[in-house]
Order: sequence, then C-alpha cells, then structure tokens
Amino acid sequence: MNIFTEFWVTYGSVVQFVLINMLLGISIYFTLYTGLLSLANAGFMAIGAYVSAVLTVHAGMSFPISLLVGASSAAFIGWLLGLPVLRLRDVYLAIATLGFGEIVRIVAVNFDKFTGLSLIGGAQGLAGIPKLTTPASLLFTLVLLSFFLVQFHRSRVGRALAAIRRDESVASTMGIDVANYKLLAFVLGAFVAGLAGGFSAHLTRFVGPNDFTFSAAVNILAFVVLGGTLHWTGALIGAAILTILPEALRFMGEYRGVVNGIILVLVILYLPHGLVNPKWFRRVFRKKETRHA
Amino acid sequence: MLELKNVSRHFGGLAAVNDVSFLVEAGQVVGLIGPNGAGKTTLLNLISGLDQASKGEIQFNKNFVQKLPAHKINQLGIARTYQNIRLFAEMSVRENIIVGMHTQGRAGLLSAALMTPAYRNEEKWLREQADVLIKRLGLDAFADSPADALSYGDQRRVEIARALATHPKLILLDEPTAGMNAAETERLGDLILSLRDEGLTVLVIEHDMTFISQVCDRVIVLNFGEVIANGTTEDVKANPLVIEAYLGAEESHA
Amino acid sequence: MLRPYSLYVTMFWQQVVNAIWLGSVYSLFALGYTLVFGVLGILNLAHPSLYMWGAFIGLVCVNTFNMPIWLALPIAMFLSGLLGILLDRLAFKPLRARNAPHLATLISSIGASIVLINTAQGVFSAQVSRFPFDAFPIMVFNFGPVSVTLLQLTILGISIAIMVFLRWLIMSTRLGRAMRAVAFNRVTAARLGIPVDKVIMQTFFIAGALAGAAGVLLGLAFNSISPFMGGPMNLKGLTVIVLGGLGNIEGAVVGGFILAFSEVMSVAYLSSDLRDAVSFILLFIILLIAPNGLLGRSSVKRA
Repeated sequence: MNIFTEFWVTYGSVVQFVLINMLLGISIYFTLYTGLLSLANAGFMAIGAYVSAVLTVHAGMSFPISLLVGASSAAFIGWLLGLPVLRLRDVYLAIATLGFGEIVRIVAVNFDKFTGLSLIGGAQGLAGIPKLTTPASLLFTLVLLSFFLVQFHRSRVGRALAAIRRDESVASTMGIDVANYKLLAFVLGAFVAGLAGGFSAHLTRFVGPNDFTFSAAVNILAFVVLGGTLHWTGALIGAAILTILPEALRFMGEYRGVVNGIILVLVILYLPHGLVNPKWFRRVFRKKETRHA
Repeated sequence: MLELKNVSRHFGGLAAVNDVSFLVEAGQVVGLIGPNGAGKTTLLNLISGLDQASKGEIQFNKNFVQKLPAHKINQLGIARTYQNIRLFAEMSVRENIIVGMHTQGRAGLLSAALMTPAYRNEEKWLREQADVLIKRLGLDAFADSPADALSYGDQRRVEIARALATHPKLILLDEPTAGMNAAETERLGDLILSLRDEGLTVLVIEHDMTFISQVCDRVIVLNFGEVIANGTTEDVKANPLVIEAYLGAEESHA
Repeated sequence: MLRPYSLYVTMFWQQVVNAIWLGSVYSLFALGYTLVFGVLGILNLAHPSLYMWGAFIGLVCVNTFNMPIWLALPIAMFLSGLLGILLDRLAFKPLRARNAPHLATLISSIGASIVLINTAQGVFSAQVSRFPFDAFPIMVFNFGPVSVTLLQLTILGISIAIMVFLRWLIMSTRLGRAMRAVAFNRVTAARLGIPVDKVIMQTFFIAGALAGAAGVLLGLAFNSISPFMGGPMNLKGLTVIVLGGLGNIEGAVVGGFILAFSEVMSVAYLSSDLRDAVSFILLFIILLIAPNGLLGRSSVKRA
C-alpha cells in the first residue's frame, strides 16, 4: 500500500465529511450574503437526507435522482417556510428558523407513527442506507457549485442580494423586489443543504432525527463565521477547519466541542469578518502593482 | 404627472403630514421647502413607497401608488436620493450605480451561471450605461473607489447617478446640496436643468433659496405637515405665511 | 375510549393544577431570558445553558456535598448568577465596547452555549443524572379529586415568591429604575450618572439566578438532568418570551402559563407526542399573527 491509500483508509471519511460540510457552509453563505440569519439549514439538510434515503432504500431509485429529489424537496419546503417567515426581523427570523429545525425533528420522530407507514424509523432512524456517496461525486458537486458561486457574484441577482444585505429600503427604491429575492436566497440555501443531507445519509448509511438538532444548525453557522463572511471561499475554509479540528483533538474526549465554541466566540470578538478577508488580498496585489510601476 | 390628494400620515396622535394636496406637472422642477420638521422627508417617503399614507391618494401618471410597495413604485418611474446619504458603503461608486441599473437588466441567475451570450451582452451594456452616468456626473476620478471614501458633495452626486440609473420619469431629491460648496451647487443646478430639458421631472427638497430660485419652476412650502404656499419662487418668497413660518422657526432656534 | 363524563371533569381540574405549577417554572425560566433582552436588547441563546448548569450545581450540592435541597437551591441560584456575569464579561462586553451589531452578540451567545454544553458533557458525562430519591419529602395532598405533591406546591410557591420579588425589584428599587433607564437608552443613562456597567452586571446576575432556579426546580420535578436539557427548554423559553413580547416581564409570566396550559391540555386530551410540538405551533402562530407578542415589547422600558 502506498502513502495515498494508507492516508485514504484512515482519513477518507473525514475528507468526505469536510466536503459535505463545505456544502453546508455554502448553503448558509447564500442566506448570510443576503443579510439573513437563518438557522433552518440543519432542518433542510434533514429533509434532503430523509427524502433521498427513503427513495433509495424503499423505491430503489438511483442515487443521483434521489439526491436531486431530496434537495428539491428541501428547496420546496424552504420556499413554503420562507414565504411567511422572511418578512420577520432579524431576531424573530432567527427564532422562527430555530423553531423550524425542531419541527423537522419532531416530524421525523413521529412520521411513521402518524402515517402508519414504516418508512423512516421514528426515533431510531433509518439504517442500512447503501453507501453511494463517493469523493468524486462530492468533489464534482463542489466544483460545480464553485463555478456557480463565482458567476453568482457577477450576476444581476447577486448584486441585488448584496444591496439588500446592505440597505434593504434603499434596494427596494431601486426596483428590487426584496421579499422575492430574499426568498430566492433562502431557497438556494435550502437546496444546497438538502444536497448535503442526501450525501451525508449515503455516506454514514444512517439518518436519524437527532443528527439535525440546534447544535447542528449552529455548527453550520460556525463554518461561515469562522471561515469568513466576506468571501464565499470562507465557507469552505471554515468548514474544513471545524471538521478536521475535532478529529485532531480526539484526545480531548468529550471536551472536543468546547474548542469549537471557544473559536466561535473568539472569532466574533476579534475577527468579526472571519478568516478570509478580501481586503488583505487586495493589499497584497496593490503592493505587487507598485513594484511594477 | 404626480398628484397628491389629501395625503395624511399620522403617527399615533401626531400628523406628520396633514391633508397635503398638490400637482407636479411633467417636465417641471418643483422645490419643496419648509422649516425643519415640516414633514418634507416624510412626504418623500410616502411618494417613494418607503412609508404608507394614513389617508389620501397619490397618483403617478395613471397609477394610484399610495398602497404600492417601493419596488413597484420605482418600476413605474419614481427614483429618489436620501437626506443622510445612503450609499452602499463598501461597494465602489461604479458598483453602486450598476446596482441601480437592476431594473434595466433581465438576466437571471441561470443565464449568469451558464454565461450565455445574452447575459454577457447585457453585462457589457450595463457597464457602458453606468460609465455614461459616471461621466455625466463627473465621477470618473473615483469610479472604482469605495463609495464611503468620497467627500459629501461627491457622495451626493453618486446617489443621484444611482437614482438616475433606474431610468426614472420623476426623481425625488432630498437636500442634494447639503455638504456642497458654491461651485458644486451651481454645477448641480446646471445638471438638474439639463435633466429637465431631457424630459425628467424633479421634486427637490432644499434649504438653499438661491439654489431653489435657480432651478425651480415652482415651489411648495410645507409647515407642520401642511401646505402653506404653492407658486413661483417670487410669489412664495413674498408670501407672509411663508415668512412667518421661517421667522417662527428662526425664533425658536434663537 | 369513552370515559364517564365526571372523569373528564376531574381530569380537567387535575390538568389545570399541573399546568399552574409547570407554568410558574416556565415563567421563571423565561423571565431571565426576557430580562436580558429588555435591558440590553440582545437574545442570549446561552440562557438555557445557564439553566442546565444551575441544575447540575444543585445536583452536585445534594449528591456530593449532602446538602439539603433548601440550601442547594439558593447556592445554585447564586452560582448561576455568577456564571451569568462571567458569560457577559467574556462573550458580550467586548462586543458592546465596539458597538457590534446584534447579529454578532447572537453568534457569540451561541458559541458560549456550545462551550457550556460541551464542558458539562465533559465534567458530568452525557448520561442523565438524577436527584436522590429522598432529596425532597414525598407528600401528596388531595383536594377532592385533584392531587398535588408537596414538591409541586413548593415549586409553585418558590416561583411565585421569586417573581413577586423581581417585580418589586424592577418597580420600586433604585436598581430597578436604573435597569429601566439603561433599557431605554444606554447612552442617556450613562450621562445621567447611572453606572451602566454595574447595572448590566446585576441584570446578568439576576437572569442567571433565575435560570439556575428554574434548572433546580425542573430538575427536581422531572428528575432528569443532562447536559442537553437546555435544548428543548430553549424552544419553550423562546416561545414564552415571543408570546409575551420580547423584553416584557409580565408577558413572560403570561406566556409561561399559556404554554404550560397548552402543553398539559394537549398531552391529556390529544396525544403525548404532541407535547414538544405545542411550543413551536404556538411560536409560529404568534410570529405570524402578532410578532411583537400578546402584551407588546419591552415593558422594562415602558414601566
């Protein structure tokens, strides 16, 4: 066995978790970019996970299709949720989206009981999902999303969302339908979170209601807060750091999570925009320019 | 073009705007003056859709807009600037203006993501139009600087450029000369007049009476939320009610 | 399954009694939550973690130090209050100093809650702990068809006593007036000579103490204490304070009882699975219909 295969045997799943968490980071990035604090993404991830798992396990669908259907279901629910909830002001929006996460958990626990079906296993969750997630498919999805993100920032829609984040009222007097665009960002985030959920279910081979609690939603937020809210690559970097860190800190046992919390507080206190800050890049490039001048 | 009929805005028991009626005809430059707190900015908020009137009608061309959301009102052709300058701070001047061009574009996320020719052409066209505005408002020197790095007077010009980017038929200016020196004020006056000559209608809130005399065809005077005079600059200046309103304001400041 | 009508009636009154003492504890928890929002304008999502730590401190007092419960409760309240102050100093004060947006404070409180929960996990293990069987005398009173335990009565009594004390504090004392002034406008309050920082510290102490009290009392009542007990309580607390109006002290009490009644009645007459669902159903209804709460926002300011 060469070094690469050895590395992969030990760390293969961590790498894939990093990639999945990068997807989650991107899903929150869309909403934060528009100025919305939404803690609903764990709930959307759950929907994507459950729907795609049920389709693969019970309906024998192929993975790409069940994945897309799962993500689309999450997007649809995101649309339904966003319609009433997005007109609430920041604190109330955060509370409502927190509540949504709980709803999803409770529905997951009680669904089989109430419908009399035996689809998702209630509190025990659904096990035995085939392991269909591959690093290649994850990487491919991320690369596609990255292209999308680059173009997103150079699009009319992206500009409108940036304006909404900075000053909603002013944006509206420039003809931007704020409510609609917020909904768009919300639904985009829900779709990507749903994708992440589908991938996750087919990696860990299990999906259960306790995987998507308040803690999960908060951890996703931490990816972007740490990585940087000013540039989309921040979401990727934050996800990577916060996924690898607990693995590296296994020796701390139950206390591992404390580090994540401390990092979150420290970042908010001293590095409010997170790690990736485009201004530093610009400074570096400007220095290079003056040398050539 | 713009007609207000018995427009009122109440906050609890207080009427910030009380039974205001007036008409602004197409192609005019109308000044809106009055002591501080007279309700001028509130009126602008009502017209632009940022606030909703408690009573009355606001008609713009053939549409009743008093209950429309702000973005629809802009799409119908009303744009505005703000008293305390609300530019998108970290964005460059050019980016601010390009955001203003939002309604002039059609490309959605999908065409942007796929980089279709329609998208690319539109982006090119948007940038060209923004450059036209930048040149016209004399902002070439700082087109790529962050908007909040400019002087007050320059920022106001950016706001005007941004408002013009929405291709309005009526533009509402809230104290545009505040923070400008005499030269800049005169240039702004010339700009407004040339905009008028191109067919734009202007409603401008101002305190600078020289500027008002220079650009306005008519002046509406507001005090305590009510219209106390409506006529040419000469008529208004001589109107005893107006003089009393300003003197009263001066006394309370003395 | 049909039961004789009289049984439904007695069941109803039993539920009412249950709802009353449950409501008092929910109110206690929500009061601290809403107080911080009222005075500082921030939603402290680490509040449920203070509640959890209060429960554990009480547990440690009784189990490890063999204290009687009537001593453990005030100690737990006191230490939770100190924990609240520590939380503010470390996670919120630096943000106030640079006038950070509320979003930052929210995120900071989230980070703090992660720290608190995981530390508890490390110290106490993730399992459910319990008070010893004889921590509180077991006595049942029967008022006709309705029965009430001494524990429930005591919890009701203590909660009401604390709430009355809090109201007196806010309405009639200098500290209370100072808190209201700070709630209204921090800058003005400072100019009027009010020691804003001290007032904020005291606010957090009170909020922490309230959370700790709720933790011990509910921990006793349901005899189940774990590092994760703050989670479900969080949603209930949020429901209560949104119901009553963010920052509204009376609202927290009203909301607490409304939630308790709704929960108890749906468990009794519909299904016990719905108990958790009740909070968010109420939450969503209120957010969609009257987001400022039934009693409007911030009575702390208006009082």
